[in-house]
Amino acid sequence: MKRKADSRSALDGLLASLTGCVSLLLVLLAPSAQAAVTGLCSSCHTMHYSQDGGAMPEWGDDGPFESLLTSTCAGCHMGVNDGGAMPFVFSSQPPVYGVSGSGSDSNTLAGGNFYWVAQAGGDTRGHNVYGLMARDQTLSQPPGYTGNRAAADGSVPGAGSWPVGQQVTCAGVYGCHGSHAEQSPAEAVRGGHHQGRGGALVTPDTEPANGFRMLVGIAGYEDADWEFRPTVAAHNQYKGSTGGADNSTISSLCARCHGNFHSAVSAGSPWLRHPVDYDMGSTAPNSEYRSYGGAERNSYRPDIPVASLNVSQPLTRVTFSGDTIVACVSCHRAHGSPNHKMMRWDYAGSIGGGCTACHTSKD
Amino acid sequence: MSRPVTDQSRPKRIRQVTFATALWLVALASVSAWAGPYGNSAHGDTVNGVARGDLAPPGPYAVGNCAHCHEQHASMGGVEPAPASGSPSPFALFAPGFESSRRYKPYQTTDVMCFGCHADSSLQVPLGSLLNYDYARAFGGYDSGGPESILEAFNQNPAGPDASYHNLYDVWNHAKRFPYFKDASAPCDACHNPHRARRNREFPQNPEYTALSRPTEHESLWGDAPEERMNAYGGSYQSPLFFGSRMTYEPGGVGEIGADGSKTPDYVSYCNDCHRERIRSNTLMRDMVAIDWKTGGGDSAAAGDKHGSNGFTGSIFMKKPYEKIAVPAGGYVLSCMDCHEAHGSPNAYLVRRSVNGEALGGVFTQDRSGNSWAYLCGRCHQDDYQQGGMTDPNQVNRWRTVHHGGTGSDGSDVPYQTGGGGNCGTCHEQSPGPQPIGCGYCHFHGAYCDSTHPGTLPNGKTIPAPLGGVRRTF
Repeated sequence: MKRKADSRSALDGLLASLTGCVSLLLVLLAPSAQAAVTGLCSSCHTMHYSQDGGAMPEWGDDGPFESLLTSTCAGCHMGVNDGGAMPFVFSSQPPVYGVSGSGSDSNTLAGGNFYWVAQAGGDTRGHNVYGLMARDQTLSQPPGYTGNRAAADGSVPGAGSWPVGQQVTCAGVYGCHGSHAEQSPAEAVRGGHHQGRGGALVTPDTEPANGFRMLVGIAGYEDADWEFRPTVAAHNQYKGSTGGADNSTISSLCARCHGNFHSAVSAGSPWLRHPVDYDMGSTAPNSEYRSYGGAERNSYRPDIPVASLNVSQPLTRVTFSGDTIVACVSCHRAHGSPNHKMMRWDYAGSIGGGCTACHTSKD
Repeated sequence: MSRPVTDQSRPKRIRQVTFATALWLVALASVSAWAGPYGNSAHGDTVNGVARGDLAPPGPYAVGNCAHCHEQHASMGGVEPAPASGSPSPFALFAPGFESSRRYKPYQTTDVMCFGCHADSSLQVPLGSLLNYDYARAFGGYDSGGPESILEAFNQNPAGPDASYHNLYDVWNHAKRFPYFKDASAPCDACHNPHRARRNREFPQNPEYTALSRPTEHESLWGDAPEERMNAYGGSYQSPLFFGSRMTYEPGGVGEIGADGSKTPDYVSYCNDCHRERIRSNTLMRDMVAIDWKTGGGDSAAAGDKHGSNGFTGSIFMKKPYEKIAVPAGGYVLSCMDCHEAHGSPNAYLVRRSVNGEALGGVFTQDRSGNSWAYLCGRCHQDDYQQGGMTDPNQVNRWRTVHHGGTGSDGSDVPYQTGGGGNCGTCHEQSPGPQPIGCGYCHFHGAYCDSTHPGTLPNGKTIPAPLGGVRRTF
């Protein structure tokens, strides 16, 4: 048995080395693949979920995992952000969020953090992701679920029917990242880590790697450090489009599960629901919305972002011409926040707070 | 545990520039700071502001939060996507702004979104938690009776024919001419901006707490600035007496210093955003006259109202505080709210329950032929009792002197002198003697008397032209 194990270990090492070389070669040959994961294959993979005759302690007891991985999504993406190269979306200790999660002392990223959802009474503070925390005690399905909006590859979350009690997953049929056609989260984001691109993703296709944050078909400009302490000059640039029919916008991603929230949002004032994928540049030139980012200054606000048609680069100012498009993420953190309804700011605990970023006459 | 790494560089620290950081810090600070118009408003007050049912503490939303009126996704907690009213409502409100099929009172709580909170005081939770009194009480000090909520003010005395109200369909229909006002707007939005209206009932002496926004200036308050008050309207303004007092005045019992209109919003400009033109009244089934408060002109048919900028004819006999020896040239200009309520009244034509410090002597009715209108006139004008030395109670609410003169020089400018060949029976019923003529035939907004106005009355009596041929009579 030991011999067999030794030879398997050796084979693992050989395979890992070969794969690493191939990966490195691919990286070198593909200059656009700036966001692709690099390094040793064995950092993430194991051929036999065994090393020296047993599982490595850091792999945990739940393996083996799909795609020969040594852990789950959370296994790699759990930690405390310090501006390093790994984005952590789930922490065991309270993250530093501050007022908006975008301050100079915060350590959360653009999507926020799932930490608060996992705390007692935290159901309203983010998505209850399978494997990270228990299911939502109130909502048994995504609120506003219609199941009639597909990703670029034609896949629809839940295949158009969300089972009662089904929790959302990181990726896959019930997930946000990757294809909704794949049951396996790893398979859903296949190629995303190895072939992932960074910066401007203006022509997303059906591949996870070509979508903003491995969101299939979604365009956007990826900030290099996932908006760790973003600034006016360095931040994600979210894709938006008016009319509600463009399936490459960040809000269209949300609409795949929360479709009702996006119905009747493109008819104009008076709105039946808060508009998304609506350009504030469509309002009167003297409207209160034209003071977003400060009257006549109109700086982009990373804490309350607006989306744009052009996502080739992050904007420092907005011009109200296709670059002041309201998006779901203008108000919400996709993963979670310390605030009710995963709001970016403490909306419920105030008389509105960040609403005045756009509704400027109220402030 | 070994972690994968990326080849991403971290160029942003290098790209940062000082000015960008400064701008960002300014923007960041504004997330938590909200001390603007909404924060200062009655609805946005974190203690006394809007609070809808279970949403307010210990529910998830702070008092004053947007969610108490707005459901951004047309849904609320756990029952998404069905909103409270069953379907999405314009402006993402929890209920439709106005049920426009409701043409007349009595109004129901569900007819106007605002009535969801400003409901009958007996239906409020907690009981009486949102008391809104009429003007006579809130600013005039008449704290006996009267409505205790906005809905009650509109629905006063529903069985009585003389109770009046600002017909909300008419308001809504007329206000649609203002660009900000939409079909889906609540009629209340014609006169108020719910994001700015302040808590004036708590500070009746301080117009900075005004709840008003002009239809033509919806995005700002009206009356909060010194130039938006009655003392700046043009003409001389004197506040009426505070109820039961001879020393204090409206609004809220201010002293002499504040009785010059400096504490009173300019209601004339405010109301005349609409009432300067003829407006159809579904309640009255006729057009209401256009109010001309600006034009002078003396006694001519084309002149303006004497209660406005136009002046009295020759002399005038008034009660305190308008009896001053040094009556300003042209007399005083009145505020609409000196006589009228805004929402509803137990009297006809939105006439207040109390005026100039006293309750009306009876119900002001729609009937022109009686003397009920003098219940209002007599609050400021001297009747025969006042002019006769206040010795004969039978002279209360009699108006012979002002029309036909009395002793001495009091009759210098009366419109109809006696003893000059006049025939009482031409104008007056004669049994058992000359009977008074209903005030309402001659004294109303825009009225004047000449050879054809008011002409022949329903009883067949014909009013001749007054001395001078024409006389403005309001």
